[in-house]
Amino acid sequence: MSPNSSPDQLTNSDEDLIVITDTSFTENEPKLFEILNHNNPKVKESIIEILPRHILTIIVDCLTQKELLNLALTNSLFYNLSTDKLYRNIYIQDYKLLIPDNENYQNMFPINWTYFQIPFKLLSNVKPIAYDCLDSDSLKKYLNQSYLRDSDGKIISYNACYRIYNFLRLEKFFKCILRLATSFRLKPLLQSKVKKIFIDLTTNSFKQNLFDCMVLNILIEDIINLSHNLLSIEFSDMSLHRSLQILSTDIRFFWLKPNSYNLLNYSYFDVHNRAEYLYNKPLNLLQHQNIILNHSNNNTTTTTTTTTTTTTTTNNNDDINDYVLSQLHEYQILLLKSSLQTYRNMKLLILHLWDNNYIYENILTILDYKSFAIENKLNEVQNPNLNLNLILNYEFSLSIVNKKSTLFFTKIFQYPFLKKLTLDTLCQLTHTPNNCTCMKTIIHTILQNNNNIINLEEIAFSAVPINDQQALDDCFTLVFTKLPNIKIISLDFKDYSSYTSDSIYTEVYDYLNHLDSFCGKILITLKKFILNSKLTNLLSLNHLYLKGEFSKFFLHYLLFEYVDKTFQDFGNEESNHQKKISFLKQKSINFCLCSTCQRFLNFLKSKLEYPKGMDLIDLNNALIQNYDRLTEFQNFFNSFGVSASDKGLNDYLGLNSTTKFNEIYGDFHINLSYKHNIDSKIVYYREDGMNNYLGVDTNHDLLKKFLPVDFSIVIKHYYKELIKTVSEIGKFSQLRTFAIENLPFIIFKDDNDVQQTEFAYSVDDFEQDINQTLSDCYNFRNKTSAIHESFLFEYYRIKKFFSKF
Amino acid sequence: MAPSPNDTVVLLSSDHQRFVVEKNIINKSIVIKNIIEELNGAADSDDPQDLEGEQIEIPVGNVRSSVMTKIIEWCKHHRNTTFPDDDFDEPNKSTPIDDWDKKFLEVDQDMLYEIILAANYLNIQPLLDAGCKVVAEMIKGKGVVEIRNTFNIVNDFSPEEEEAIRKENEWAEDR
Repeated sequence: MSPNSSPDQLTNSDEDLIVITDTSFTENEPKLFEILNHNNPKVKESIIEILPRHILTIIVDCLTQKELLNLALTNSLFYNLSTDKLYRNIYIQDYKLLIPDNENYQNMFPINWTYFQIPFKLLSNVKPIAYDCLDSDSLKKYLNQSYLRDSDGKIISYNACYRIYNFLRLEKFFKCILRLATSFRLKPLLQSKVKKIFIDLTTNSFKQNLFDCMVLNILIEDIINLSHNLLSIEFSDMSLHRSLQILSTDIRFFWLKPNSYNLLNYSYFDVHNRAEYLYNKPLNLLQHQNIILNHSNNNTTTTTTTTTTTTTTTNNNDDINDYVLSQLHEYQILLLKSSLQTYRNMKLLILHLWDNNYIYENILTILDYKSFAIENKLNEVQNPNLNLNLILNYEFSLSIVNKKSTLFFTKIFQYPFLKKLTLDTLCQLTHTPNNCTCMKTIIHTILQNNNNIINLEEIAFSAVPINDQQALDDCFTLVFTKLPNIKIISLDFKDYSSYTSDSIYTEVYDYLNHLDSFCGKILITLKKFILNSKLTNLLSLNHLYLKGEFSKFFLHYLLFEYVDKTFQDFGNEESNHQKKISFLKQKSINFCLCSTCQRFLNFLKSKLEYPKGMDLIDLNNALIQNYDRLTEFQNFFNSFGVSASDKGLNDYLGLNSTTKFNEIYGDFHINLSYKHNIDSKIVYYREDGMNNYLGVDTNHDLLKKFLPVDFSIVIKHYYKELIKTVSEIGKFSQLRTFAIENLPFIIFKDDNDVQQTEFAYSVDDFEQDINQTLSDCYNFRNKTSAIHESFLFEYYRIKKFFSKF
Repeated sequence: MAPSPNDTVVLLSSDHQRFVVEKNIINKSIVIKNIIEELNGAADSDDPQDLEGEQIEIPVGNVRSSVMTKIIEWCKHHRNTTFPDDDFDEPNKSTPIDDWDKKFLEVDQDMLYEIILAANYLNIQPLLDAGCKVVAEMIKGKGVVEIRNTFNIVNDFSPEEEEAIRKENEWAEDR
């Protein structure tokens, strides 16, 4: 027989095969299974009865995820076989990873893993992504909102669409995680089926949200505890692994009740802004209220339905209490695995608060709630849980400043065990004078109610207004004189000035008149404060961070000077000004597209818009008749072109001369000056009594070679002086880190380059920062600037993404 | 040229039919191969004269003659095929079925089951794999009810149980 012969051609007469029939047997011998089922030969037998289990297992092993899901529903035996495989190897992948553009993409995955299914395809460019999004009914509804359309009714930007698309993906990822967690809770047997877990998440996406981390940790911890078969948990990112380990060693999570499937039924896009969006997320509901962690040494296993307990509050918030309690009951967020005394052992309560109108009554209710060991109202705490740490992360919005919020903060700061306080703006775009007022109000409120904040160990303020002396003083007073147990202080200073308004310009110009008034102002104020104030004994203070984009502001200052001198009084020659101008002309000064820089650029443009035909004097004192502002405009921006010093800096840093800094942003001319890199590392570090100055060494070759005199002065005069002052104050003797500004600006695509360069950031790290900032910028009411930034953001992400394939 | 008796064995099916087949063909069955080796080993160690000239006869009581015919056909076709040594490993599961095997296994469902059972009994792993893949192919693309009908599977779930399972596995669904 030919090896290529068809099976049809095979017969018993094949020459290699001799069949000898025993005539004592009939030709119509019943088949094997008919023999077995001789009592009722007409009933066709089930595959289950014919094939033994181990063969059925082999069959099931040949099936893909989708087929297993169907098979599991057919019969209890197949359910067991299917789920054995379905839960055996679980691949939890980054929601950001897109699936290849292939209808049969499922076939591209190894069959032995069960994946979180991500519904969208990889698309070769942005546009199809947008149009894919448009195919979604829910998205159509969303996009019908006027703020996503221009006057012609067209979709304004597919960047916005892409963002929505990412939201969708993120939501689906969370839903998957939640569903899996819920299934495990429902049926612990499923966990015992798990043999391998591969977690393919970028640290970047993960770090953004403690909640993600929590959910994942719950899954893993449960599986570890309950599975006898778990062989391995692998991580694509080992830092993620470490994060999880840290979490799991210290704390234990609690999770929602098993049958809370309705938790997942909600609409994505019936919202108009971020706050509502988040509010409507059940997941965020959890974020709103709590992440509850309990020390893992409690080994009792009683399931305590603490949420069924009713409170005995008699205040006016009864309705709210009922509402919150019913929510808690519904979601059983506090599904405590330990005893009724759990709350006595509860270590940490983190409150993520987003929506001002929603939260501050709820949080009071939660704190008031018996399970949290707050027996009565906040101001009547009788038997508090001494172990409970309260962390408050509050992202305040524009609407925060009112009597209610003041009351809220007053109440909060009466709670004696607030350990960590983080006040953050909703997003960078809302860094407005209103937010400035918010921060002032909050700081003031804290100062007025400081009796119970002595336990604060970590405080982080963003958006401390730099142009408000009183706010600065209040801020310093609070952090340096009222918090004896403080360990970490992080202050992020913001400038809320608008450069576009003449009236505000006057104000800005006032503090631009001197270096002291700008980047130096905060440092000088701080220095004076430290020298003149009665500081608390800050022996516990280990880390002090001052952030403020000082170098960016200083750059603005220099450019203001340039414009000022060029168009107003350059007739009065001053050598310093000329030096500045010549410096500015020869340096690489490019701008990022953040709202601050954009406003600044707009201002510069407005300054250049002289009436056409005006006579001017140029830099060489030559008269220019019929001045053409456009030409000047071009000349101006030409003078801030691409750096000619790339090569020199690359040589200095030991890099290939062709290395491009900020390569990813290169197309948009948003390189940021090397100066940022240099002054971002003004770090005073004390360890074992040794003082080290990094980046402020007067002999620093890089400073000498690439920094202008003025800029070096700023560094030496202000930063170094401040560092020196701080280091000489005995009350800071335990300070281990003192960092002034810490901005990532040199970015490499290749991690190897990062390792070779002392101060460089990797793309991932930078993305994290960008992500952190810009992902919070999704404010449609501020669509113009939002889209501007989101464009940058998405371009970056897309480009990075495609570089993977 | 017909093979010598020493190079062949006789397989006796459940319906008492005798199949004379070359050893190097039926060696695809690990069970038969081991039996032959054991018998040969016994012959070598005892009295080589005893089995000389005699054809080994192996009863295969669980396999009917029609199935045995198919098994031998498969073994003949794959007499020169080298299969991976390892057991049915993970990557193999997603490998498509060999075209010839696919055609070969285009039989009615009962026969397919019998071939699978015989391959399992005789320990012919590649054939067992192929048979299982064919069954798996029959599951692909079918809904729950279709699968039940195709394989005569009795639904022993209550509607509530079925719904609970849907929920339980929802995380893995393609949405």
